[in-house]
Amino acid sequence: MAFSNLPAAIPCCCPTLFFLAGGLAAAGYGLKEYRLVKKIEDTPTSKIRSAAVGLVEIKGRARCKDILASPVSGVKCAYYHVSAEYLHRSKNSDNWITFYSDSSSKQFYMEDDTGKMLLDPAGGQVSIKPDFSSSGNLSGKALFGLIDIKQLDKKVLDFLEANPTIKAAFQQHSGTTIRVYEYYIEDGDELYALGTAEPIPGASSAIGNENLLLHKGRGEGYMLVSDSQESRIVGSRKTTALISLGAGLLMAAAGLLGVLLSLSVLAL
Amino acid sequence: MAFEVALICCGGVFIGLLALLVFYLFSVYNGLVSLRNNIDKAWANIDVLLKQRTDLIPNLVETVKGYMKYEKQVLTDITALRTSIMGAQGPQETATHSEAISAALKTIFAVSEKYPNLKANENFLKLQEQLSSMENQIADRREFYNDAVMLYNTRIKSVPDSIIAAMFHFTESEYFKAAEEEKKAVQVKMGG
Repeated sequence: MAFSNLPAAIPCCCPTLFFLAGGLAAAGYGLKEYRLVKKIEDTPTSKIRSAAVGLVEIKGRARCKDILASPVSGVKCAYYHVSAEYLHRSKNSDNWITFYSDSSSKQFYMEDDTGKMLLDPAGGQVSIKPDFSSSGNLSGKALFGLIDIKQLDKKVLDFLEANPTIKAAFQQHSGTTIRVYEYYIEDGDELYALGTAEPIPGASSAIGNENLLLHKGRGEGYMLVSDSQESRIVGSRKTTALISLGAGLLMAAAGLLGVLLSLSVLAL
Repeated sequence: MAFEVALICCGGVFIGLLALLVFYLFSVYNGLVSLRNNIDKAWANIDVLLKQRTDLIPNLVETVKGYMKYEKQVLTDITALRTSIMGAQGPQETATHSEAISAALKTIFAVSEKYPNLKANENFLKLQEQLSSMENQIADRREFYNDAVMLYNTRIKSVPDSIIAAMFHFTESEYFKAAEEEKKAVQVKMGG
């Protein structure tokens, strides 16, 4: 094999190398999701009263520890997340790009018929359906104020008036369509949670109730909070995982074949 | 040249498929190990509560024996059951004795209603509260353990996991549930 041709082969391999890297990244994501799905499937549901230290799956209702107000709608809640995206138009495609996001960092309780447990969503995935959304322009005008177009909801405008720093970030994208989503967990919302239970320092015992904190464990820990039922979470995530894994592996295989072909053609 | 290129491509595809198969086998094996570990952990969590409950029985007997003059048999039975649960082997046998202890405790607490002085005894009330709370926790953990066993037993019987399970001797686990015949035998023994 004439390895002296190798440098010449690099530009030729570049597209296939990108294909290979993209495929591996997609397969990696699919694999990570698949492992989470297996954890959800393989972990039996614990009653909060008798939950033990380690990976725990619980089902119950959210209970506020500190009553928060969702930033845009002002709804009393235990947790909130707000995100804003602008529409980025390019020749090939239109993409929504997130330019602002904020989540509450307060812990809250989850309660079932047997007791309640403290939850720390920090660092974990909170997968809930949006409770409020609005899309439109910041000013409601386009083409130098000549045309009226849809403006963002009044709640969003009021929220921006009260927060000048955030308004400045919105104003940077005033010429494009912006969409805002608000997600919140209200007191009493039905939830599913999977995470690592650990004793709260200073708690009287390591058994259930208010002595344990459910959070994202160290290393490859899991923390998932969702307002969907377990079967739905498994169903949707398994589909995503398998599609990502399958498509990623196919892309990676095609990329690898492309690299091998380019190298062999050049070498021979 | 075309032959060599085809050979390289086929080799690449073969190695890729082999790597996928090995990865799949590893993931099935690791999944089964993880499910078996879940059962061991769930069992350890029940076992610790059973031991704690067993340790409280002598205190309870000591507290109530002065009051329950006409129900000596129940106290003798629960003491005998305490000894037998300590020597029980495996979840099913343990469950049989545990259920009998739960029934005996219920009897003691029901009978205690006839003795106002006993009902007023602070030590008895504390023990009753502790044991009742433990009974609830044992029931929760029993449900959790049985769920873990069900997940594991279903997996080792499902194709293709059953092939790996058979290769690496993953055997079926026992539920924490008393066998009907054993249950009757213990009840007969309790009745004298």
